[in-house]
Amino acid sequence: MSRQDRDMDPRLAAAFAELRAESDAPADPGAVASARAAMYRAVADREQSRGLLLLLQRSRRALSLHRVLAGAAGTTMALSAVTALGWNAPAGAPLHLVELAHEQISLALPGTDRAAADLGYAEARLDQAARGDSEGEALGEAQRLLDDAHGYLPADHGNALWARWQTDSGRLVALRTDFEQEAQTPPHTPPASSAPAPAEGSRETTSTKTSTGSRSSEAHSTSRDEHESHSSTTSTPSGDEAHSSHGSSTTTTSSGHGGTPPPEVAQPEH
Amino acid sequence: MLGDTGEAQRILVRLPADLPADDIEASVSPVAMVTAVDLVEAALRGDRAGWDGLFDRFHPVVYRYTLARTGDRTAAEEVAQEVFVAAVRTLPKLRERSEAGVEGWFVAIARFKIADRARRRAAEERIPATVAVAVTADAAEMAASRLATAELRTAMEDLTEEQRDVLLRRFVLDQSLEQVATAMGRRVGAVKALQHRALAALERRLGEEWAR
Repeated sequence: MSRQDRDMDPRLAAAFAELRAESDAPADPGAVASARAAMYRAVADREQSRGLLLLLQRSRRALSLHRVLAGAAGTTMALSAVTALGWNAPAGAPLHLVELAHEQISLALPGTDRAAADLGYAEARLDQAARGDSEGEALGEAQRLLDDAHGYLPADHGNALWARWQTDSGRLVALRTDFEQEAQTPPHTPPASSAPAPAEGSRETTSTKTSTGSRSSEAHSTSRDEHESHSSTTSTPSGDEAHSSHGSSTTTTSSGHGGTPPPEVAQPEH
Repeated sequence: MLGDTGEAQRILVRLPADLPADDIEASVSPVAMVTAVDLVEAALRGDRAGWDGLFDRFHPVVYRYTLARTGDRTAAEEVAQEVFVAAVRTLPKLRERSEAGVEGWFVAIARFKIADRARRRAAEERIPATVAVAVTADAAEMAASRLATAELRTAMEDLTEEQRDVLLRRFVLDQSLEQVATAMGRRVGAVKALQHRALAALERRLGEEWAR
C-alpha cells in the first residue's frame, strides 16, 4: 500500500476490502460460457462482414479510377473517330447525319454569312451529284440548301451571291434533269412506240414533291403562261413526261428580273 | 481454453507449421507469457485462439470491475458479455496494445456499458441513474456490515468518472499506479493526484453519513 493508502480512513479501507472480496466471487460458469459463445457469434458475423467487405473492395479495385479514365478516353476516341469520319460524309452515307449536324452548327454560329455558307454546302452537294454519288439525296439537299440560301441573299441583286445562286440553281436543274432521265430509262431500251407513258398521277407526284416546301418556288412563282413556256424549253426532245413535269416545278422560280440568269433559271424576286 | 493445445500456441507465437508438438511444449513459454499484443494480432487475423486468449485473460477483470460497480452478479455477467461482443467490433481501432492498455480498453468498454445500462434502467423506472446503479438487492443485504458496500457505491457514484475509476482499479482490482496510469493514458503523478482527490471527496461524503 502507498502512503496515501495507509492514510485512508480505516472504515473506508474496510469498505474497500469488503467490496474487493465481494467482487472477487467468480462468475457463474454458465454465464461465462454464454458470454464466450456470444463472442464467437460476433466473431463469425465480423468475418462474414469482412468477407463481404473484401468482395466490395475487389469490385472497387476493378472499377478503379484508371479504368474509368481509360473507359472515358476510349469513348472519347470512338466519338472523335465517328465525328472525323462523318465530318464530310456525303449525302446517303451512314455518317451523313454528322455532317448535317456540323453544317447546322456552322450556320447557327453568330457572324456566319448564311447565304454564302448555304451556297457552299449546296455546291458541295451538286459536285457530289455530278460525280454520281448518291445523286438523289445530294440533289434533294442541294435544293433545300439553295432554298435556304435564297432567304438570306442580300437586297442588292447585283451582289455576287445572286449570280452564284443562279448558277447553282441552273446546275441543280440540269443535274436533276439528267438524273430523272436516267431513272426513267429502262435497263433494256424498248422501241419508242412500246414504251409506256408514265401515269398522270406519278407526274403530279413528282411535281408536287419538288415544288412543296420550296421558299423560292412559293415566293417567286410566275404566271402559268411563263411556266408553260419555260417548261417546254427544258423538255427533252424525247418529250418525256416526267422530265417535263420536273421542269415545270423548277421553272416556277423563273422570273424575268435582274442580271443575265442562265437560260433555265430566272432571278427570283427578293 | 488457450494453451490447451499446441495448435493455439503455434498460432499465438507464430511457430513454424512443421514444428513437432513436443518441441512446442519445450520451446514455448507458458501461455501466461503470451503478450496481449500477440493475442490482439491473432484475434485480428480471425484466429479463434486469439479471441479465447483475450477472453480468458480479461473477462475476470471486466467481471470484477462490473460487479464492484453494480453489486449485482447477474448484471455483471450480462455487462461482461456485452463488453466482449462490443470488443469484437471495435478491436481493429485499438491502438495501445500493451497488457495494461488492452485491459484499460476492456474496462473502458465496461464503463460505457454500465452507464448505458444505468440510463436504460433510469428511463424505464423513471428514477435517477445513480440510484439505479447503486441500490440493488445484493447491496441491501450487506447493510449490516460495518460500512455497507452499498453505501460505498452510492458515495462513489457522486465522484467523477475518472476518480471512481482510479479507486476501483487501485482498491478493488489491485492494480499498481503504473498499471492504472497506462490504462487511463495518464502519468503516474496525475493518477496519484487523482486518487488523493477521490479519497478526500469520498471521505467527506461518507463522513457526513457516519456523523448521522
